[in-house]
Order: sequence, then structure tokens, then C-alpha cells
Amino acid sequence: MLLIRSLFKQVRKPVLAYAIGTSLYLLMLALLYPSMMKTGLLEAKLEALPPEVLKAFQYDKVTGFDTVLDLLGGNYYGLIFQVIVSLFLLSLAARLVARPIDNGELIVYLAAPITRNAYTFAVAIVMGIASTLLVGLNGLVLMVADWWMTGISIDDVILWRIQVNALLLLFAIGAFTLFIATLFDEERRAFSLAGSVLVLSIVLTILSGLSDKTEWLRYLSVFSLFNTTQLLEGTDHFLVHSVLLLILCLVFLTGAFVQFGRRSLSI
Amino acid sequence: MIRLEHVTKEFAPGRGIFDVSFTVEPGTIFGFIGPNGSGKSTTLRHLMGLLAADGGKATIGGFDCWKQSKEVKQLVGYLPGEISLPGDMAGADMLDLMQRLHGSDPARRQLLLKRFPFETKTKIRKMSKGMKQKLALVGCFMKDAPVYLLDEPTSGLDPLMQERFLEWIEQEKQAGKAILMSSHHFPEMEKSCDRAALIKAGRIIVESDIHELVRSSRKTYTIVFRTEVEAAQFAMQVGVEPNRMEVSFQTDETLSLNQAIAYLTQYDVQLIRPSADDLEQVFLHYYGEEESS
Repeated sequence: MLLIRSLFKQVRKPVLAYAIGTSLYLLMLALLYPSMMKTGLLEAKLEALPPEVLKAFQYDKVTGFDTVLDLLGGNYYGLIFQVIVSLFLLSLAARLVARPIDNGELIVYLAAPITRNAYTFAVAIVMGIASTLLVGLNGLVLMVADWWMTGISIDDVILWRIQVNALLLLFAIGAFTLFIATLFDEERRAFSLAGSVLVLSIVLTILSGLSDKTEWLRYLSVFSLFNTTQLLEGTDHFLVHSVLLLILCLVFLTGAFVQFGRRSLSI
Repeated sequence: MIRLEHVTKEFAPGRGIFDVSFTVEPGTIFGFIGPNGSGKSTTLRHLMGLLAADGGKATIGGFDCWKQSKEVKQLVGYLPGEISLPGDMAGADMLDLMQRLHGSDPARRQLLLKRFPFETKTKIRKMSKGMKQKLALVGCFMKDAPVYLLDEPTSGLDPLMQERFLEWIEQEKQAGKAILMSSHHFPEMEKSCDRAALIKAGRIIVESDIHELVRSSRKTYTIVFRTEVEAAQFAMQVGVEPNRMEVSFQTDETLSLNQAIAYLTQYDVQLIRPSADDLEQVFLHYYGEEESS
């Protein structure tokens, strides 16, 4: 518990910055949504955009913008969310594992009677708490906005299906970034490798929207397991995606425990 | 208490530590001496369970340093060679964290802060090297551990703090602690250690009682003559090059001190200066010998 508290203290500020920042963005969109719908400007602008671009941002004109979630599906839970969670988890794994290995600060903890498994477990818990805070606050802010204002009409079930799916996505990516962070002595190398894989995943998602021929590329990306368009339409494979994300999380977590437990550390 | 048996770790061909063995008993201070990159820190990292050996075994208190690192670390206070601490934390916060992680004694912390005082409210990022070293020393010794592993413990300390450090470890030794200390600072090693090992290129060259080591070493003397002619003549007799009116020479099996004194009776000697640092001579002797072989 002491270890978890101490590690969380180290990342508290950036975690709160991400959670509050994204939540304020969601709140702002929710507050603007009724007036945007009244003017019809948003739909007119989206009409002017090529369908490939809309697909890349996970806008679906079929569903329209009946609720604020339809707007957020494209304006937050698409590409923006993928970039934000990638940066969020890359920076967390760097701060908690890659950087302390690189600059030797890890010795503060490893000189104490703490096993490496205990350290890895504490980091995984801290990353889990951070992810839950981010996704949980996002969901709460939208619920509060819905109670507070009229014209937003959020379906709570859909909202929390999105949040749970998003959280499991964060768990899977978090476990991946943690695993990569345990592989190298240098923070730069860990950050580059994990960052490259995540950027490639995002690029694959964008490319998959460009034509029907490239649509299969989506399935090479982890982000295909969090499809807000399908979640909003109710055509998603929520359970399958959740189980797959959990499996990915467990595989990478196991990798992180094994790798960090047996590697030599020159700190 | 501390035992290394034929520990080998090869990072790259010829780089690492090879067949390193020694023991440190309770109530003794063991000096670990060697040039930069010779394998001192690598050896200490094995004892802290940070590195897995390719061969051999390291134990502390009977616990395997790699497989039972938690039990080992319960027995050990460790001072790393490079003090890397989170820069955003204040000294006091760092000590609080260390105290909680190690279950250290608050009374001991206060005592140590009186011995090694520094501004505990300062952020670590703003601390000088000496301040960080004092912070690390307090953090290490506030844990009342039966074993201390100290990597360059006086690095960055001023002479007064170095003296206090020596007094402190002497007390710890009297209390029955086993202390393994690596250092380049020969006078302090000579003053504090009971035994010492010299390591070069990852191999222990010699391990012995420190006083035995110093006694068996060659000694260097510098003689100042009244004239350069006398200096040149004496230099020829002892087989070295003079430096104007000064001649420096070493005693060894071919030239005893008695022999040199017999030569000197023929000259007008102004000054005889023995080398102040005997352990350094031992080090240079072994280091030089290995270099030439």
C-alpha cells in the first residue's frame, strides 16, 4: 500500500491534468451541443467533408447527432481519444518504470525490502487507478452535464458501455507500455518502441477508413477493439472486445512481471 | 556475513567481474579498492540482487542475493555510488519515504542529521553533490542494519564530514556490523578498514589484512640534496632519473632502505620525505605491475 501511495504521488499531477483536461473538453462539447444542433452548422460542415475523413474520425452520418454521444463519438472517442490515451499511458510507463531504470532512481525502492514483482504489481495498480480516474471522470462529467442541462439526452447504458470499453482499452495499452518499459535500460528506447507501435495502430485505423480495400487494416490495430460508432449503433461486439482486451492486458502484464523479475539492472 | 564465492558476470568479452570471492565478517570493515570501471559497483550490485551472476554465488546472512533479495535487503543498508534521487522531492520527504520503506528508526535519523547536517527542506534538484551525499548517508544509516554496502561513501564530502563519517562507521563496526566499502580515498581506507581487496579489470588482484598489505608494500622516498651533482650521483646508484636536486626512489627486494641510507651517508642531504600515502603505493604497485604484465 505504501509503495502504491508513493508511486501514485509521483504521477498524481499529470494524471489529474489528463483527467480534468479531457473532462473539461467533454463538458465544453456537451454545453455547446444544444446550440450547435439549433444552428445546424455542424451537420452542414460535416456534410462538406469527404467520407474517408469522417470515417477516420469515427463519424457516422447514418446515426446523425441525436445525442451528445453521437457528437463525442467522432469528436473525442475517435482519433483524439486514441492519441490522448497513447500519450497518457506512454508517459505513465515512462515515469514509473523506464525513467527510474534509466536514471537510477529506482534504487530508492529496490534498495528497500521490496521484490521486483511487488514493484511491478504496484506500478500496474497505479496505472489502473490512473486509467480509471481518467475514464471515470469523463463519464461522470457527461452524466452531470446530462442531469444539469436539457437537450443533451445521454443514454446512461451506452455511455457506460463506452466508458467500460474505453477503460479496458486503457488497461490493455497500459500493460503493453509497462511491458515495453521493462525491456530497456534507456527510457528513450522504450518510449520510441512503444510509441511507434501505438502510432502505427492509429495510422492503421485511419488508413482502414480510406477505402473498402483497406478496411481490413483496422483489425491489425488494438483500437479496432474500441469502436464507438458500433457502440453507439448498438452493433458492437462488446463482450468479445472486452474479453480480447482483458486477454491482451493479462498477456502483457505477465510479460512485464517475467521480464522485470529476471533482468539485470545496472542502477 | 557477506560472502562471495567465485562470482562471475560477463557483460561483453573481457568486461565484467570474474571469479570474485571474499567474505566480510560481522564487526569488520572490508575495503574494496580499484580504478574506475574495475568492477567494484558491479560486485555491490550483485550483493543487492540487482544483477544475476553468470556463475558463482553471493550471499548475505546465508540468503542468496539473487533468489532471496527481499530477505537480503532486510539485512542491508545500501549507499549507491551514483546518488540518483527524485529531484522534485525535498530532502525531508525523501527521508520520510526511506524511513517508511525500510522501517528505519526516527531517533537514529535525528542523530544522523546532527552528525551530517544539511537543509532538509531543500529540493533534491537544488542540492549540491555534498548535500545529496549527506542525504544518502543519513538515508542509508538510519536503518539499523547488520550489514552496510557503501559505494564511494565519502564522494563529495568535505574533510570534516569525511572525518565524521569515519567516526560513525568505526562505531557501527564496534556494534558488530559488517561493512563493505568501496573507495578511491586511500587515507580513509587505511584508517578505517580491517581487510581490503584490490580489484582490476574485474578480477581480485590481492586480498589481505590492510596492515599486512601496507607493510608488504614498496615505499617511495624523496631525497633533496644540496647540489644537482650529488642528486645525479645518487640517482645513478639507485637506478632512477634525478629531478634537479631531488631524487625519488622505491625500496623493494633489490634496494632495501638500509642500502639507500648507506649510500646517502656520502652526500649532503637536505631533506628525506617518505610517501604519505602507503595504501596508494600498494594500489599503484599492483596496478602498475598488472599494466606491465
